[in-house]
Amino acid sequence: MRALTFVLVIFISANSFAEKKNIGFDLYSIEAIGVRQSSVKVKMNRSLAPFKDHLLQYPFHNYRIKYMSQISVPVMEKEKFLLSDNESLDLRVLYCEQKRASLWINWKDEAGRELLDTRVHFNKNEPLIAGIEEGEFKGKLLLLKVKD
Amino acid sequence: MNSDTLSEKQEKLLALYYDKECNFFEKLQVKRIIKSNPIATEFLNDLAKCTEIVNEEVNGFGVKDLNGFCSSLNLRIANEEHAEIFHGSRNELVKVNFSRRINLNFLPWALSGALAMALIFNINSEQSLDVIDNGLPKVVTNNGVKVPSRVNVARKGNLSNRKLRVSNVSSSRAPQVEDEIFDATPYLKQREYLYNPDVEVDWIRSNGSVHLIQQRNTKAPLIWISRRR
Repeated sequence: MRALTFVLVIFISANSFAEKKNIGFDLYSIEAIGVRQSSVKVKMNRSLAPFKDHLLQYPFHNYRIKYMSQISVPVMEKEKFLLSDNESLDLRVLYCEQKRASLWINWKDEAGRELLDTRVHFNKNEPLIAGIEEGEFKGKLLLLKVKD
Repeated sequence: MNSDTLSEKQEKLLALYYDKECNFFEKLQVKRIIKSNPIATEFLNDLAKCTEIVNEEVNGFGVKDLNGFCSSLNLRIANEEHAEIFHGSRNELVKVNFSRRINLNFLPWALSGALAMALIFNINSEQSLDVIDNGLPKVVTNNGVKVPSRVNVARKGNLSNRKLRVSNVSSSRAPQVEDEIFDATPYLKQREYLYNPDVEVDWIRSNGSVHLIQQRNTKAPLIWISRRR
């Protein structure tokens, strides 16, 4: 009986202390300024060059990184991150498989008002970008890219 | 171990045991404490007395801090409502009693009825062997006499084996429609999203109008929220 209890305890404790899989992300908070005319060239920080094709879908002509970080989130656990201007980001990775990933995102402004709450499933090699209009010629973007 | 007193850890364990929140190993530990220390039993009895007193107070509306009680209740309700948004409403599991769901009192009657029906149809089917002679169907009865039948329906075997055969098809022929074959290959690419969805959105909530930006080259989730004006 004692031996069985010992084995059970070892098994339960091993399970509870098992390391959870951490998923790495590149997180960018981007300020977008100026409405782009059809022939105007777009200016952006060099680190944003890999996401050029995606950012050109938005109607701005100047993209500037306000906050940049490399974060790590355990699967199925909620993590809170503070962005620039006291904004906050709650992030939960639902799964991250070979090709696909799923994220729950809750983006709040400095007053704690919800800017965006979404759950998305997407291809892992693509970045997830969420943008919000701030003024007439201004917007802020949030870019998340799963690390390889 | 001093048998006259209980340690703080033991008291906590006993309190958990009283609240039925102990796991299997903790229960074993508690039973060991109760056996070895008579004060443990007294402690459990005291807990029971305390519960009785509190229950009397609450049942008799004798709650002293009514405001605190109400605010905690409101908080709990708000939490439940908030949780409902994400997880759906909480329903109690309804256990269905099999014997109640199916009334077995009718079983003997149903069986006897089924038996009677089966007997009746078996007797009927004895005269159902069908012989078609010169295009005219004839029915063979029990005594072997062939009787010509005017009905253009052949009967054979018992009820389950009977098949209706319409002999005069030409009078009820459907108008002929020419089929045409279309090539759907150009549309296959358009329906690729059915087999390989690139972006799936379970929900999006925001205080503005939400747009999912479609792209030609890439298949990334691009969200844009414009403020309501």
